[in-house]
Amino acid sequence: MPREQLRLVVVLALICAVSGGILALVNRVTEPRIKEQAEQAVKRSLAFCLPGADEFQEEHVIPVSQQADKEVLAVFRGISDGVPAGVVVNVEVRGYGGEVGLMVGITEEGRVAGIKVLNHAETPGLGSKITGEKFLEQQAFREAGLDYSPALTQDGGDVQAVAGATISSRAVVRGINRALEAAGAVWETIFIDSARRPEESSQLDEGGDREQ
Amino acid sequence: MVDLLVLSFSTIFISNFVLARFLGICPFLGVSRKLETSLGMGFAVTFVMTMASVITYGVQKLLVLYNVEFLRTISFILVIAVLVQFVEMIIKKASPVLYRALGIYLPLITTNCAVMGVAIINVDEGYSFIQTLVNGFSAGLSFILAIVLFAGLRERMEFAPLPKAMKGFPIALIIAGLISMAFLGFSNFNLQALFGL
Amino acid sequence: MKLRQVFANGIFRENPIFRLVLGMCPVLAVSVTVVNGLGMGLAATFVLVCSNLIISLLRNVIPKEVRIPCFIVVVATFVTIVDKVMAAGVPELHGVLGIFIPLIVVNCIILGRAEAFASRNTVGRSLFDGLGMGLGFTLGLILLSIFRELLGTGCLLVAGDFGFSGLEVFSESYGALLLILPPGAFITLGLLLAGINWWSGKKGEER
Repeated sequence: MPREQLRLVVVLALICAVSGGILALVNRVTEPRIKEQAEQAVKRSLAFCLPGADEFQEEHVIPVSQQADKEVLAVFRGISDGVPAGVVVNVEVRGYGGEVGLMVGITEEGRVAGIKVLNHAETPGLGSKITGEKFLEQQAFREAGLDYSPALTQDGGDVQAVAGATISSRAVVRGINRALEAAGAVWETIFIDSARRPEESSQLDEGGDREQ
Repeated sequence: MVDLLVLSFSTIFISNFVLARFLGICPFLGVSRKLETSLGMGFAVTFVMTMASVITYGVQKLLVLYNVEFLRTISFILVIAVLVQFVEMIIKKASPVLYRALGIYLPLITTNCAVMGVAIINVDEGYSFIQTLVNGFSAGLSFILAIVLFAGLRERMEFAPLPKAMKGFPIALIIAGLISMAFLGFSNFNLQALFGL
Repeated sequence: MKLRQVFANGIFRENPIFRLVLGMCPVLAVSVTVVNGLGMGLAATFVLVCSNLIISLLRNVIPKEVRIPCFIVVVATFVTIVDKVMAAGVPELHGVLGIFIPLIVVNCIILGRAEAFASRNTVGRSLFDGLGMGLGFTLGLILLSIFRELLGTGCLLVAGDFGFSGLEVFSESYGALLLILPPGAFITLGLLLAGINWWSGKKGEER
């Protein structure tokens, strides 16, 4: 029955072709919007972490795959009126239930300006409280900076962990410390270089080495 | 090697596909009345999941190459459908008894969210080929673990005195909830300490 | 059966969640908040209605031997459309529902209705069947979500995408955390199912 079988194949193939065509169309329409959403989300996070900066440039750092602990995803230079105003670092550390993505803003004085938890897989109702203001906007975090690494009270520092979620809290602290390290590694190149060459973005490979 | 073990352990115990991720619930509830059928279903599903993971890994690479990632859902589910047809033929030849026992649930593996689920998870998590293989296989093992535990308990439930409203799915769901609660304990595992990382 | 009956069938007599016990995976996973449940229900309804329509339209064209792959392609197309549109329109909800949006393609309800109803009935009846089943699914989801969200967190209708942080009915510290965790899903659905069985058992007795 080759005729019958041909019909089977043709109908299936036709349906696939029409579907493919429709989807290509839908994709064409939605893709720019989807990309835009993602970019907007990143911009909002950056602005939240370093208020006062009106522009952000991504810095060249060692790619994630080449890092030892693969935690620093990106470093951004924040610019205000053409002058560097600080650094925002995007890190991802291991939490209780999965990866915790953080963005940490550091002002030009070397102080932590803003912390945002981008994504996490912590336990709802417990570890998920690390995204809350009560935890992130505490005094100990406000005082943290390049010269003062935060640590949980359980680990000898001043940071109050979320009750019942020590591991999640510790992950956030680790992320902030990692971000501070990364910022410190590029600090000179951003602030000193730009005093000399304000328009150029820096060559950071030497600075990045110290992260290992 | 160790990180593959960690991945496997995570998938089987910490993020068990059925009890934590809610994938594969339909066969989990539907086939688990008898222990032997459950085991047979578990093996079939594991086989399909492993093969599907491997094949969809390749398909994804192709999709990216030709810039048609939006065809992912369609292509993945078609691959799975073909794979299940294939497995059906094998089982029919190899073990007609199992084939009859599984009945309609065999072609229904196509609609098993766990199979499509693991394929998507492998891609979303950006796993390498070997990680995909390990994850796919471990996901199958996690399914077997869940369904076998569950079937064992359900067989007992057949003889338990229950209010009429509770018989069947209600009590089954509550048992599943209790097993899921037990598995929650695994999320406390310090994997680093266990595997000496 | 009149169209009205076809429609009501999906909501009550053959409710996909409570009677047919189909499509359980998203039900358990997504019912953590009412908005999630509603979003998933509407997405699934859209796919169900559209694929019922197309499959019914093509029911005399699609050869019996390849009907399952054809159904799958049709359903998968609509699922992809919903996926892309949600990613563009309601990104936060899309992120929360995550993997369960593409998984609508393996939702037993949709393929089940395609095979059992749409491929054997007229377009009009298939449309109403899709609407009824979809609505039954959505209502069931919402019912389960109300229990889990309200008793689990004390809030209702938290909706990030629309900037609405929910109505706090009582303080979160009185909430039963277990309900929004996996075991809570199983147990709440089990109890709900038992309740519905009991209630319809009583109704049957009274006759």
